[in-house]
Parts: sequence; structure tokens; C-alpha cells
Amino acid sequence: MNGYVEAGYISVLGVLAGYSALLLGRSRKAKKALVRVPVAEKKSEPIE
Amino acid sequence: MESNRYKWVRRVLGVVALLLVAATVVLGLWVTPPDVVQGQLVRLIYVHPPVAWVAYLAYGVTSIGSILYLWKRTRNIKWDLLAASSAEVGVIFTALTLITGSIWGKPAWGVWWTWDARLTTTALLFVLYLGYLALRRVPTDSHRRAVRSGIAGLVAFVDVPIVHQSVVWWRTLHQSATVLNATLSPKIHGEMAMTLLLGFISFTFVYAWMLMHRYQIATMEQRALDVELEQLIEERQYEPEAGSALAQ
Repeated sequence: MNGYVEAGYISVLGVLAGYSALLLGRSRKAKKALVRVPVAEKKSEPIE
Repeated sequence: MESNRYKWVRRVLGVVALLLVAATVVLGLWVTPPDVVQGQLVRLIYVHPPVAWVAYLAYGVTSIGSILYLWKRTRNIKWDLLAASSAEVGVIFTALTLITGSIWGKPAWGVWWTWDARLTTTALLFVLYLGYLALRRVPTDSHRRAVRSGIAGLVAFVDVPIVHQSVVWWRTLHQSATVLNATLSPKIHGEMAMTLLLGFISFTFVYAWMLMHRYQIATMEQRALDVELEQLIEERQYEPEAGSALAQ
């Protein structure tokens, strides 16, 4: 081909693959963050 | 946490999207013939209009999400999160539209960039939705953020029909619409048309998969924020007052 066509396809596939990887990474991070949030300890009485 | 069904649908969507994109690349690069006028360059047609279409679609979903949040009867934070998720994916596809357009422009027009009406309005679209995403990062409460960005999303969407009609309204270097033209008569036929159609379908599937992922991340981040806020309020409630602590 002429180089431009390949460059076009590589940029489309590269950007989409990169963004997909970023999404998967962020999804894993968000799941971990949600699990890490400690469950609030139940306090019997408020301190007077 | 997300349901198993949602997870399953997303996985199937991902696999189908991957297969469709692979088929588009094979047909686009090796099976379809070169064009009489454009030669090998025509192969970029199988990716450039489809990514532009997905950008329009993504911003359309952002607008619908924004309207549903702004309208009090349907107000729910999930609409705002959907709008934001779709806008982010839309920005990626707009960037791809500009990149592939520029790569096509250099051999066809002799320049990487020109201030042509179609190119300029598309660049403006990119900047408008980058602004939308930046606005969402301004620290404020969820409701205020949703209202502000909902209005911004709707204002930015005005540019979408302008981008599409720019080749009709102004004299431009950019060619007129190949498929969605005024007479709805496609200027492409045979296996070239089939490959272009496949491109539209495959990138729409990619968008759907990305949107599902991005939306899930947005809901998890929102939930983590809500839990954190609840805990802070609870901790504050049980904290001894400064005065009473000193007295003791």
C-alpha cells in the first residue's frame, strides 16, 4: 500500500486498544477501591 | 456490584466487537479493490466515516442522558454518569476522526491540516467535549456537577448537526456525505459498500462495549464516594465536641 493507509489503521487500532487497556485497568482499580473502603464500626452510643 | 448477566453481556459484546473489527480490517486492507480515483487511499474510507459516526452517536447518548437528568421527573444520577461515560468515549472517537482525516488529507490534499469548514467544526466538537469533561472535574457536589455538565453537554451537541451539514452549507475541500446524503443514495457499491457497512457496525459494537465498561467504572467511583461521605458524616456525628473535650 502507500504507508498512509497503514498509518491510519495502526492509529485507529492502537488508540482503541490503548483506551480499552486503560478502561480495564481503571475498572480493576475502582473495584479495589470499593472493597478497600472499610465498613464503619458500629458505635453503641455517641460520646456525650 | 454488577450482576452476572451484565458481565456476561459485556464479555459477549467485547468478543463480537473484536471479531467484527478484525473482519473490517481484513476486508478493508486486503479483500476490497483499490478505487479508480483514490487508489489505495480509499481503504481509509472503511474506518474514517465509521469512527466519525460513533462520535456523533456517543454525543447523542450524552445529550439524552443530560436531558433525562435535567428533567426533574426522570432525574437520577445514573443518567448523568451515562452522559459523562459516553462523552469520554466520544472524545476518543473524535480524536480518531481527526487523526484518520489528517492522514487521508496529506496525500489527497497535500496538507495534514487546513481550516476547512468540516475540519474546523470537528476540531471545535473535540474541544467542546474536552471542555465538558474538564467541567466535570471542577470540585462540587454531584447534583451541581450533573446540572452544569448536563447544560454544557446539550450546548456542545449543537455542533454535531453543524459538522454533518458543513459540507452542504459551505464550500469545502472535504467530500460530501457518501451514505447519509440529502437523497439517501449511497455513492459506494458492491464489496466496498459492504465493508463500509461492516465498519459502521463493528465500531458501533466497540463503542457499546467501551460505554458499558466506562459506565461501570463511573458507578463504582460514585459508590465509593458516597460510602466515603457517609463514613465522614458518621465519624463527625460521634466526635466529641471541642468544648466538652476541654471540660473533661
